[in-house]
Amino acid sequence: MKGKRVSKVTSLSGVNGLVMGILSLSAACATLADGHAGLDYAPSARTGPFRVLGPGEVGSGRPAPFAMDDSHALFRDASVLDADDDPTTFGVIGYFAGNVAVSADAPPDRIVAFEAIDGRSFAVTGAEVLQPSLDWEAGTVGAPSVARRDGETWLFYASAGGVGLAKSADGQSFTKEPLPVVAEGVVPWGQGVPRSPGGVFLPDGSLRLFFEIDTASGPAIGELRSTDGVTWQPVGSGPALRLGTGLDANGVASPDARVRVSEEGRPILDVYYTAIGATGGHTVGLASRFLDAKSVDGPLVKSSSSMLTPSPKLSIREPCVVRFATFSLLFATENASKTSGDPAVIVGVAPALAIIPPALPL
Amino acid sequence: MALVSTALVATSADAHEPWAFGFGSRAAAMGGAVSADATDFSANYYNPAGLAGDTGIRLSLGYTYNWQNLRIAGRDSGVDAVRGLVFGFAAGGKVGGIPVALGIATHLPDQGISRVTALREGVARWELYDSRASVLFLTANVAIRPVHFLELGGGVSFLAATHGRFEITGTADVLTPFNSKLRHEVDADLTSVRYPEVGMRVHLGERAALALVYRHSTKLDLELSALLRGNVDFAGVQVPIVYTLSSKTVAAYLPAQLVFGTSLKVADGLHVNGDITYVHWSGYASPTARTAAKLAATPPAGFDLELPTEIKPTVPIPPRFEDRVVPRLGVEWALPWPRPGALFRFTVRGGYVFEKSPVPPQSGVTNFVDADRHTLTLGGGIVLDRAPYPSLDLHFLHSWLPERITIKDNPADPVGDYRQRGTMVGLGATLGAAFR
Repeated sequence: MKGKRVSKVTSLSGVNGLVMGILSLSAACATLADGHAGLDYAPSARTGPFRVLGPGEVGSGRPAPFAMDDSHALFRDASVLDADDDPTTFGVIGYFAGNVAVSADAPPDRIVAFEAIDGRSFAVTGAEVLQPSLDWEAGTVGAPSVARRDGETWLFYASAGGVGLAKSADGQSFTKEPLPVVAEGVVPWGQGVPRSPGGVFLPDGSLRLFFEIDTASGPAIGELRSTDGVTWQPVGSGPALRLGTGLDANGVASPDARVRVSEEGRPILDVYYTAIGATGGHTVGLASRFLDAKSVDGPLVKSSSSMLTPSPKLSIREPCVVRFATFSLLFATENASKTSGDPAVIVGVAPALAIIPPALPL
Repeated sequence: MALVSTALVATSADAHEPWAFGFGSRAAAMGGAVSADATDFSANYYNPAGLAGDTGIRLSLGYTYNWQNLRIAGRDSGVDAVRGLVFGFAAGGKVGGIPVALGIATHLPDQGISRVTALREGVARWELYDSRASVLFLTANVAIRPVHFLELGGGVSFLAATHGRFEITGTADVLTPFNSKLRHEVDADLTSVRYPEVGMRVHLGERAALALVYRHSTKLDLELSALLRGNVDFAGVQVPIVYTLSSKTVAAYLPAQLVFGTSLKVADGLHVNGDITYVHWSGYASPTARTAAKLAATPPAGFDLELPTEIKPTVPIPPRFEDRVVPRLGVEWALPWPRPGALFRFTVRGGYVFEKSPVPPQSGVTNFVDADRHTLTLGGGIVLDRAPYPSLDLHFLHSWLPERITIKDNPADPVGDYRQRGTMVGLGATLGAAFR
């Protein structure tokens, strides 16, 4: 995949936003109308399993299933946010970790935002929104996780000293907290520095942060609660997710949390995660819990099925899901090929037979 | 290969057109409450004993069309209309001075005589209505009237069943599918399954009759085997593969039924009928297939091809349907005008049926969609009062399935919560003639 595409990093333009809005509206009108009747309309929670997009289903000149494959900046670890919080339109902003021309083994040193007006065909041009600037970051920022509340974008990121937080009113200009908001020792059962954060606002406005951390038996996922994003308390006395007996027999990692509402109005917390199997192969797992008063701190119930199962040699990781009115898209990092360690971001859709808006040309 | 591997669950069907939409326009217009009051060809289904209740040869030919607007999560599920021909006869006479009769009747769907829809496990489907009626139904019965107040009958019903095999051979080009050269071969055998029914009718004077009918359960087994054999072309590298699948499932299930019926002549020309049917739904067989699959490939040395190490067999989840009692009410009024002796006689009919859903809340993995069903029926008939007594009966049916809400126990359920509801509208006509 080397040399296939190099993205440009500039600033997001107002014209882009206008075009995004117009095309999103037209795409919505074109795809949300009822089609032919049949079992294609079987109900779906839109949580997966996901079908990897095929040829012609990703635009911007990117080869499906890759939503991002930059062999220069090595963009990876997507966190994708609905641009207008309207699930009937498809504009999104994707935040990716990247490098400035270093090897794939080097930790990421910047976070770049790209827009996509069809939900997944990210523009060639992105905007750099975060760079390492604090001592505790030790020159690295990565694994972005974005959430929005009251129009403000909260960006959690992984760094050498723990998990950092930056906020922005426009999604581009971020102001960092001076110290890591989650650091080593945040949970007594974990070892080392927490990494790969997944932040989400609950319906009551409070925050939950899921993170990956090592334990004696392998990587596990912890859960914290907060009201201000700075002060965090552990939820429960142990990991929120730990290795199991099936898909994740060897560990769980890189959580991504989302809140959805069932068709009957029940809020549900979904945590997508990297499931590491007994043979070391990676798949994407899902664990969920209802968010009613009784179970808001209750256990996460794992799905018995993989949400996405690519080749084990591609080491899929860092999943992220964005939900629209009739389908969801899953973004995940994997090796660009079986012979390359360069990361790339693939995209899949659920339900598999969902009608998605046309991919945008370059 | 994807097509084959997803064909693991056959859409089941609980019954056929007579049960769901009535058999013949007279019976359909009375909500099917005719077990104590049917002597024409429809008695072959409703109560074989009724065949001995009349004499001569009665011929019937009809057509019915039933639209189904069944919706899940606000969207039309696309359940097909049920339509087809019905015809049959009843012939009565005497043997040794004892009235005896025989009859044959059939429903012939005009979209085919046997069909199966394959769905993945967990896919929401209208379990009791999707494809249910679209199979050939044939019934043959005999009846006797040993004493003047008692009729006894029985016979055998047949349903069409399919055993199939298909095979695909050739070369599939992964990079340029249009260059693929594939040959497919389908081999399907049409067979039948049989189940018995017996009935009894007791006349209580001139104004009342009682009926008791038993229909045995039956099921349509579907056996399917598939073979994909050939080469897959990966950019010039030919990889021989063999994929075999064998699947056995229940494509349709008819629960055992016990019917108690009455017919009362409450006034001259006015009959009121009532049927109570006990339906043994708890014996319902899961439509989930028991499958065995095997995939083998022999890639050239050095060619990196990953195959699933294990294709897990499907384990059917018991549907746990619940037994139900279905009440049916029918009214028939022979209009008093024109006066007796006129050329024509007119009749109007009505009926009501309530079928409480036997499907338990689908809070788990399965999604057998169903709802209670209220059915109102109307109809009428005209008979020319001259031999061979040609008649025309018409019926209209409207079913209302009120909204039902499915709530999932598992927050990670891939289907999630949904609502289901529906309506059905049916029309039909039956021509008849009697030679006495």
